[in-house]
Amino acid sequence: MKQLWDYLKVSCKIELENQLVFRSNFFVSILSVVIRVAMLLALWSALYQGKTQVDGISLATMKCYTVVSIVFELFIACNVEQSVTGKVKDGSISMMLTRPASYPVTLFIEQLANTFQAVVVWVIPYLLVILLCGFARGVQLYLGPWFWASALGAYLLMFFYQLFFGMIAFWTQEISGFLQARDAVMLVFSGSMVPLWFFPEKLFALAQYLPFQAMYSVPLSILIGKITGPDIRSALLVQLGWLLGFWLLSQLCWRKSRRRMIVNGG
Amino acid sequence: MGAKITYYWRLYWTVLGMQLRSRMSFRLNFFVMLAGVFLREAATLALMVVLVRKFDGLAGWSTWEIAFLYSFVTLTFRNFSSFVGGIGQIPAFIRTGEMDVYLLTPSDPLFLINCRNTMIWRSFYNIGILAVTIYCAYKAQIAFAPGTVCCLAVLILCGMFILFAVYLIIYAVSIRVVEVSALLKILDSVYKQYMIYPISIYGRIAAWAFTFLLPLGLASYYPSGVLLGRVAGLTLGWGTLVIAAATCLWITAAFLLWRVFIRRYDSTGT
Amino acid sequence: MNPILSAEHLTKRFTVVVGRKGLAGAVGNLFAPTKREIMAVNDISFSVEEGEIVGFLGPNGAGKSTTIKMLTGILTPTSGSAEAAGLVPYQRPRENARNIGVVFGQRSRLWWNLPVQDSFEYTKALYQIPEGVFRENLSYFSENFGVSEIMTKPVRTLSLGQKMRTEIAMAMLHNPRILYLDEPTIGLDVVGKNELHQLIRRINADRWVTILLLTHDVLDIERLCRRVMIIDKGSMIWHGGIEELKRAKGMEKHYHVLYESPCDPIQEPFIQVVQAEGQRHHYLCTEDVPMEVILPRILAVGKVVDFTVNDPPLDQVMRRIYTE
Repeated sequence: MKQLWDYLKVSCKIELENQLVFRSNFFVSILSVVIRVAMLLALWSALYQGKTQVDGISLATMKCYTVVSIVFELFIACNVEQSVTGKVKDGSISMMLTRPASYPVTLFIEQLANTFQAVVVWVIPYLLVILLCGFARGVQLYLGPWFWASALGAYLLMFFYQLFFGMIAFWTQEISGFLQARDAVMLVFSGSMVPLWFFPEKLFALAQYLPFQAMYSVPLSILIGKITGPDIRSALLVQLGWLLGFWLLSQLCWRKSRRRMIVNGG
Repeated sequence: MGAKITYYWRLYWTVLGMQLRSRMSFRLNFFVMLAGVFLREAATLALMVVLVRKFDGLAGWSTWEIAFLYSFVTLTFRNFSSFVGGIGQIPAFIRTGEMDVYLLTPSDPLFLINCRNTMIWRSFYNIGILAVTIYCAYKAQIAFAPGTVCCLAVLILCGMFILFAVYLIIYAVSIRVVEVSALLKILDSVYKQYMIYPISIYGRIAAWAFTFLLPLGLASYYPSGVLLGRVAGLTLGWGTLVIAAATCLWITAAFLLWRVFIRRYDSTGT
Repeated sequence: MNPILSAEHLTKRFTVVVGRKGLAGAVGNLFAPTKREIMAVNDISFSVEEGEIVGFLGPNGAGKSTTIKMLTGILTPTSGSAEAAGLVPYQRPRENARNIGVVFGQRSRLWWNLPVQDSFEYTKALYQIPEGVFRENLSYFSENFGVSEIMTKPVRTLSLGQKMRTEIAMAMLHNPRILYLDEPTIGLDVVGKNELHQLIRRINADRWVTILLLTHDVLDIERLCRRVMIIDKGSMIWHGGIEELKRAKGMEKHYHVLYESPCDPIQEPFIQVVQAEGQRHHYLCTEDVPMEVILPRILAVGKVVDFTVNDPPLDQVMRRIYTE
């Protein structure tokens, strides 16, 4: 346990330093988020021109949703899948077996460090900016325990989801085409680009059966009060279901691929 | 001059043939990739149509007009990356020092980099996107006279060269700055995600910037706008002419900048 | 005769950002990066005659590569000038490229997935090599260096030695007048090195091509070059023939003496006795003592039957030069 804690501390430090090494890149990254926020806000304003509410959502709420969802995306960002597929490709994955801690645990610690970096460098500054610029003004934000539970759930779901697809890389060498297609589906049904409540009924119903809405849409909808009351509980249950599902799947895949690796000698 | 053209012509086909042969081994992924790319574009288009329809149009543009703008932007970006996207390797070559190899030949380095890293077989995908563009144009009620078709062809080409100029300028800068990946990411996303809407929605300053400073508007809003008759004070003929002239200017500027910077190449890569 | 390759007071300065260590350093770099000027090449002058093989030695980061990059036209010098085959390389790099061949030991120009012959075809198109010249060169390399048997093999299946031979053949296809070899023997075993040395000597003799050989490996220099330039921290620290180098810098001399009958070894402060068993004596002199001082001492202790003097090996000389 102590060892893992130390590993976490070292990883956090390295992640933070890496973020600052390329100075121009760092400033440009800040710029890129600013541009994104500005562009999306302009887009929503243009769409809302001459309308006060669409589907019960006002422009102020939509603006708040946009800004918060960008920050939430930074928080939930995960590159476990990339890390695993990269290690499978260059063969360094077999090294991971020789370490004392199990590989998924190591990955989780690295992910925590990555998030720590994201929170310190990105999330906190942006939250301050949001408060200062008054994006949350006139919008009832729900910051109670249900929101935090759903955010944590989304975070873990994202991790196991990526872990699962990373583990699939053990069997199939080249799946980049498939991943492109999957990401396209995710882009639509996570609600990160266009909120799900603007979807036509059938698409909205379809989105409920996919795991992606549990990653973005559920916590954000709870936050801005689009999901309330007993709906919160059922949304959280669905999220928990997906989380358990991907956790099991990734564990299964990991066991199988480890056995395979030992048999084949890496 | 004639000898030079023959030289580059022969070199291009030799290298292209070799590129194709050396890529043949990944045939299955080629098709999976094709499906993936198609699904991605289709999904983004569908999403946008859903959104714009919900709000009954955007900045006075109808849903189909926005869809046409979207497909025009996508087609232009795809054309750029399949015909002249080989130069996308420049920042990586600068970083690793591989650039040296390209500077040590009798050929123009830019030409050689583009053809040794070309993705021209991807232009195969573009046919599908061209079909979608034409369908959207039809739905957006663009009348297909011979003149319109010519202008459309010229504008599609100009869009590709505008992107080429913009990217080349950044690659030229990468000779001094080395790490430009974040900048390139911004450029990609600004073009592919935000230029699919009329630039007028971003406010007057941004619209000015996208016209004169970072001319992405010349590869999206303006060409689509003149085809749809939505740019005030510009007819289709004049609009096409102005855009073509601006494209020539930007290309020249980009080449000049590239030449200035490549002379100051430090070769500090590892 | 005019030299084919020459440099006059060649100098290159770079400005680099000095990275600071640690988290505080990283934050500091973000806002106020420290810059420093580096003298990569400092006032180097030399000339090479046509047909010579000249070695270019120096530790990592000494400025070897920077010098070569200026000679090949990739970099423009800060001051000073260079000339290669009648051209100023950095002013007309593309024309200069037709006169030179360059082989990087660590950076391949071959097409990884394709048979060797495709890489040759590519070179032919790139350098506009006339069909006749191309055929002639191809048959020359096929016959002499076993290139013919690997022509149809994909490059990735070749051994390192084969790859290097192919690289050199490819660099020679357009009949360059100067050939730059950058660490050609890196990673090769003894046999591979031997073959490559033969090949380099052979093309030098057959083609009368001038060769500039950059290397870490003293063996390459000893086998191939009669003249050597040594560069360290951007400055030329030695320039001349290898024999002279050994004479000037090599002070470690070994004397093997066979006496007629067993005798006592020499007792002098400047002579170390490595071995003195019976008739066979082995002395080592590490100071710069002339032969006429040592010889009488050796003769004084007994009657000499046989006598050899060994020069120091070149790598020892090099080590001494760098540490000086």
